Amino acid sequence: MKTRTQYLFVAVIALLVLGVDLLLSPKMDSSVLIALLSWSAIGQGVIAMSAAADLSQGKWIAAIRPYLQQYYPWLLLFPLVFLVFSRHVAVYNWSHHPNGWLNPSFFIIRNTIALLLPFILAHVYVKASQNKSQRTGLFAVLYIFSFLVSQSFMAYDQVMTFEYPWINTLFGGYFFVEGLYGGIAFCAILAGILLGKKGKSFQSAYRDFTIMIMGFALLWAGLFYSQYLVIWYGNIPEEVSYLYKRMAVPSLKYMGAYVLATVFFIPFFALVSRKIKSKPLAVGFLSLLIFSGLLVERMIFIFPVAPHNPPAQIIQFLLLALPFLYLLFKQSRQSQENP
Amino acid sequence: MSSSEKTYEFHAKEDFLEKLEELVESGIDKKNLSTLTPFHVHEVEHILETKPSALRFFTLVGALSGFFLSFVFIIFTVLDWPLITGGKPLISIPAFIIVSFECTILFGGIVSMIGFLHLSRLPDIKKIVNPRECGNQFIIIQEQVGGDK
Amino acid sequence: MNLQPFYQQVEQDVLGAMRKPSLWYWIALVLSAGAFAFGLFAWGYQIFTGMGVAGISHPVGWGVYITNFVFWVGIAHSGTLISAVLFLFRARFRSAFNRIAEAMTVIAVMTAGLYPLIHLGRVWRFYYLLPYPNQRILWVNFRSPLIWDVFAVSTYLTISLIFFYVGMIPDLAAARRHFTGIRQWVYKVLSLGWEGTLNQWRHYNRLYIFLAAFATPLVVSVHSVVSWDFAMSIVPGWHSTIFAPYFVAGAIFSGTAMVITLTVPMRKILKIEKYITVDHYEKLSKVLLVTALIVSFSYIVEMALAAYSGNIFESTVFKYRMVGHYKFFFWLMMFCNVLLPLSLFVKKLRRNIKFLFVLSLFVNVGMWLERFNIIVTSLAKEYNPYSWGTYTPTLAEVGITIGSFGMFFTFFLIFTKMLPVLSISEIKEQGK
Repeated sequence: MKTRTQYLFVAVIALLVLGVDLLLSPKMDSSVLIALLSWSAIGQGVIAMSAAADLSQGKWIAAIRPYLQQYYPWLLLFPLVFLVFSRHVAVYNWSHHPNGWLNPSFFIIRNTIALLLPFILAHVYVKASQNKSQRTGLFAVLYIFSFLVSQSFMAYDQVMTFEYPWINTLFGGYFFVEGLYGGIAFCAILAGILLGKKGKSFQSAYRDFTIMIMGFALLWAGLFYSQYLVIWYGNIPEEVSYLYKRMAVPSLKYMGAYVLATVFFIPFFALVSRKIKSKPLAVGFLSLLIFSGLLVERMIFIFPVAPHNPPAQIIQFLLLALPFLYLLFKQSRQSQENP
Repeated sequence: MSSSEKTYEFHAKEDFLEKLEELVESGIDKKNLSTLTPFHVHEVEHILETKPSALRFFTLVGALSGFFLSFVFIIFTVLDWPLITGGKPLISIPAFIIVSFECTILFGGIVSMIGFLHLSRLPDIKKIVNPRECGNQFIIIQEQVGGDK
Repeated sequence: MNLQPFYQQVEQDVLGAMRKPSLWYWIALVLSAGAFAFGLFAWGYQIFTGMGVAGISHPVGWGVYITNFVFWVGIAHSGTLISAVLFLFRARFRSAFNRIAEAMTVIAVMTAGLYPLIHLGRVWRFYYLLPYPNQRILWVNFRSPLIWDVFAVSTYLTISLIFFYVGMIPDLAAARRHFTGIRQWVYKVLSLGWEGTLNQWRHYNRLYIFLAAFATPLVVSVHSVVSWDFAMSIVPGWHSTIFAPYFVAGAIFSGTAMVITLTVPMRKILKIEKYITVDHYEKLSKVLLVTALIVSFSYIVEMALAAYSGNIFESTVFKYRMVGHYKFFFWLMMFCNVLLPLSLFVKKLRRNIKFLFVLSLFVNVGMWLERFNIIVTSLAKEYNPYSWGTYTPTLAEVGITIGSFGMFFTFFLIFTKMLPVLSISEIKEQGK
């Protein structure tokens, strides 16, 4: 798909998200935010994998890099969706007694910029990479830096402020790693499809992505555990209330167990087996489990503190999934055209 | 070592691999072929179609036993001397996971090392005293069947 | 292609470095052994006179000893990163450093492991830390981070030793061909009769992969456990979820700097410059840059969130770090860890070995100061204003610190002469 058409679709999807929001969501609603948090991490992660490919100059990932770079126009979707969410800023408690940092207009401006920055830098980086410019490495680094800043703002500003004055210093890094993890899971699905359709040149990329899923599953579990252990052990009332709210309610507790199972336990232990590693269909299924786990985790963050609307949430989640589906579907189509 | 043994010595890795492939194709049983090399040559494993190393069983047994034994031990100690510290429950799994994780790795590593020594038949006292030095040569050893042991 | 001359050259160069030491070597050895002896004397003095000769008291109960403990464990982690983690990533440049890195790990962990003992009032009661059935009918408190430390550091020492030794077996077999007399016997025994048969290489290869796979989570977990010594408390400035990855990144940062500090003079003295080249150092400097950025990010996040949360205790401690009694060390730390490493964005500087050496010295200082900063300032300014105080290291503590550096360099120098400093079989395998 030409870049111009992609931007057109970005506008269409953003308008659809706005439409659903206006039609289905009341004034105080966080459904858009949940969908945004889930997909922005994964989307920015996909371009980050391409940037990592350019920086490490690894031969294993070189074949898949152009496919990943096709995704970058869709990154514009996220600041637009955030602007749709901005009409719900009242959902944050601090919006009723704002201070210097936490006030609605500054909040909206800085977070829009934080989501716009990765798009701009992705654009610059991808153009440099496609032209094989000398500055590709520099722009790749700048992009990854903007990805980190963007996810940090999503974590500290958009999620953590619901629980003000609770702080969790690891939150930003945690979202960043989840973004990378989601990006890798997506790359594994893509590599599996390309392996089936285009053949052996994607073998090493596919194999290495499955190993990276295991590594990042372990890293994710470590970061999750770091947060849980410190809060649980310190048992400070104003801190532990965050965990308590999410573990005392049975539905949230089961969602938590689901997250642990689908983001760490099942992918990690399943991929120990060489047989499962070699089946793209199985790995694809595991990646989808990971995506579902990341989504449910966002729900656990938001549900206890903000109202949400299930129909709006589901539709908006699916709308934001469209670019990813297109990227996967397009590969199959393209390869069927050239047998 | 039996006297019915033929050795081929090479300076270059490529010549060594060529000869090995030749010997295999000429119908010699792969079980009778073995090599001595100054470093690990992966292609030899492909040509001789060796089974994957049995070391992984040692590692798995070591790691799993480390994990479970450590939990059993910790929970026993905590029930034997039940002291509530820091308001934490007696059997506080989040805290115990760390020690178990370390013991998994500790036992896994040690048992793997023992497995390696066993599978490689090291240390070999005879070879310590009088090692067979092949220098930097790549050597193929062909055991001749049909003679003495 | 007949690479025999290359193989022989590698053996000669690496094993030749183990022969007669030069004058510079003896000078270095005497200086570090002297420092080591001074440290031992200071420790003996502390044991005989009592813990009061150290400056630690109320409210700062942890001072330079724990700073050194965390510092040395951190140095060790980078060694494992280079030898184990880069092996799993198949990074070829690692073979120039991995033996040195593994030796550094083992020696640093041994040095670090001494500090919990130095810190004890009654050193001879150290075995209280170990869970064994005793007539006091006691068990250790498995819920305590200090016990997690015991297991983490012991596991780390054991696995690092196994990894270091196993990796050396083929090289020790090569060494036994080039020496005579007692040295030859030592290498014969240590190489266990290794021949290089197919089976031996197969199992060796698997073991190396498994040990690398075990050592990798150790890199993350051990320093996370050490960081949880602080994060599990409720001391303001310590109780923070980011501590685990922040300390791990900091460990790799300081350890990589130490690898540079060690190898730059070493390659000159041992004449192995052609095996450790500028390209290798450029790759190391990229590791240095990335970890410096992670550490800087952590500083920013911690300070920003302390201000954001409005928590009076957190914000007081962070303000104290910037403008209080220890502000000189805080700003020096910022300069060494945040500002200076930004110079590594410039390619020319990344490829300048002299610059990297000087930078690595600053980073070592900066990272030592970071641990000092975290530990001492938070304890000096805790919740209750009545118990606020300061801490000044005494001569005994300074002596033991110098002694730990002396111990590290002494053992490292002995290693360079007794054992092959480069991985001969790996370099042969990589070819020209």
